[in-house]
Amino acid sequence: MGYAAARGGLAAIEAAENLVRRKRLNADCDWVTPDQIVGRFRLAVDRVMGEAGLWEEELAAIAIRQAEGDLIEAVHLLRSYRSTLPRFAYSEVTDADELRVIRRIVPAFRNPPGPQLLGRTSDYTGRLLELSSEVAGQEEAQLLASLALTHEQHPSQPSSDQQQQQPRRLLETLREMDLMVDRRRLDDPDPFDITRTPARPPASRSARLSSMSRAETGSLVNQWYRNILGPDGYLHEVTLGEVRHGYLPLRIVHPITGNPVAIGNIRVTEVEAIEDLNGIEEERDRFDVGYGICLGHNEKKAIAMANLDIACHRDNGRSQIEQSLLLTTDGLDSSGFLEHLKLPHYVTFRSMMERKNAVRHARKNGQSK
Amino acid sequence: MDISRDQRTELLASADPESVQRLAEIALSYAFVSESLVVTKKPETGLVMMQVREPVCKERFYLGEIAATRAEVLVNNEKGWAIRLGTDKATVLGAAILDAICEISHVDLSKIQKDVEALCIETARVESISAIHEWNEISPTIVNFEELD
Repeated sequence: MGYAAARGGLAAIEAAENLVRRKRLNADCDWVTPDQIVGRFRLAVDRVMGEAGLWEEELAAIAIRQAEGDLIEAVHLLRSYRSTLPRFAYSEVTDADELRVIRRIVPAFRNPPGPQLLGRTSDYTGRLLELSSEVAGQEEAQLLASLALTHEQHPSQPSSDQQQQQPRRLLETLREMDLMVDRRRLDDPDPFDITRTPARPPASRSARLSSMSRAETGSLVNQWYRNILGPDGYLHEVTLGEVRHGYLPLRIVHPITGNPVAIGNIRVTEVEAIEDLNGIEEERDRFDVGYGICLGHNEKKAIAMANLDIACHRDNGRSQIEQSLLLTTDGLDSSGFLEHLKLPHYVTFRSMMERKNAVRHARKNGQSK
Repeated sequence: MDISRDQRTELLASADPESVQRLAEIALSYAFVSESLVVTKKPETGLVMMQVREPVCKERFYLGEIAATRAEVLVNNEKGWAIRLGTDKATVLGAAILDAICEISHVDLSKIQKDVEALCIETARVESISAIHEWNEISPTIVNFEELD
């Protein structure tokens, strides 16, 4: 580590901290409640929970408010808080097939099993900054609320909805068509817990999936973008099989009855990325698929994760992609190291200057001899 | 409708917090309940690591941790236990008391036991309606894109 501690300056440090708190708590505008942050900035809240690896909306909202909107700082606060909490239990295994969708699209296939459900998205409309007045915004909000009430007057059909809300995967259809490499395992290895032991390459797939599901979104997207060059060095086909947002049940064992009980639903985003196999040793008449899933609604992250999952599998340790994923995509690790650069490095830098001067003197002495 | 203990735990985990606390207050107004109450595990917030089986290799992995609060009590020597997602300690303590109350055979408690059951039924109804409303809102976004010739 290239820096030495400094001491003193306590009064200035306290004054700086007080300034942060005073300006934050006394900003010249209305106070913002956690409810407002959850309701108005849901994607920021979801992102912070996903990158912290901790599901709790209100705490994430409080962290965002305390961090004044700096999401990586909010993740830091939430992870710190998490480290003070005891682990009650590992949940019972939830099968991802239990996902009840509120959005589900299959970009690869026009008629997949189940619906193409756009859900809450602006993917197909223009991205324009809305500069309407507050009054106009409130009027539109009222209009849209009344339209939603009109929809609610038409009850849905539970039997068909059940199939639509838990649709079969395109993956199953492709398996039935014998177009998919079958990588289903017959054994059932215990998952790797990255919160107890840091994952290092070569890592199990469960360690990679856990690491990516709490990785920093921008970092994961960047890794994906760097790695869309395939093993043969050409840009390879990237096709998404499933993009889903929905609810997964959380179950634990009841300590008195010994039975599993569902204690809530957790929203997740889930993606399957279909890979066109074209390597010499690969089954070129079949596809393979990568998997991504993260807490909350964060499609960019889940898409990047799914592509990187299959990229890691195909790479099989030949390049540094796994090392890069495991060691450089955690937001707390990278931003923590970056932030420390702002601390006093006087001693380090003075020694660097002394070395420069020593080199210069040595060079001068050498020339004069 | 007979509600099993497991179902009661599930429904009290998502029941309206004010209703849970109000019923727990009523339960505590019975002297033999409040006098025999022992909080064996005070309300505590902790983590449940969520374990998911993914569809590609059918492997288990840890998705992330979920904050939850749990409590355990003894009322009249009957154990009560509750857990809820989040950090609401008062409500989870109330739910644990109600869980224990429902396990006690005592004629004075039949009214509040029915009230707890009614709260559970109402919670299930609200959850079901909420899911239907949500689906009604999103189902108009089902699309059939056409392919260009």
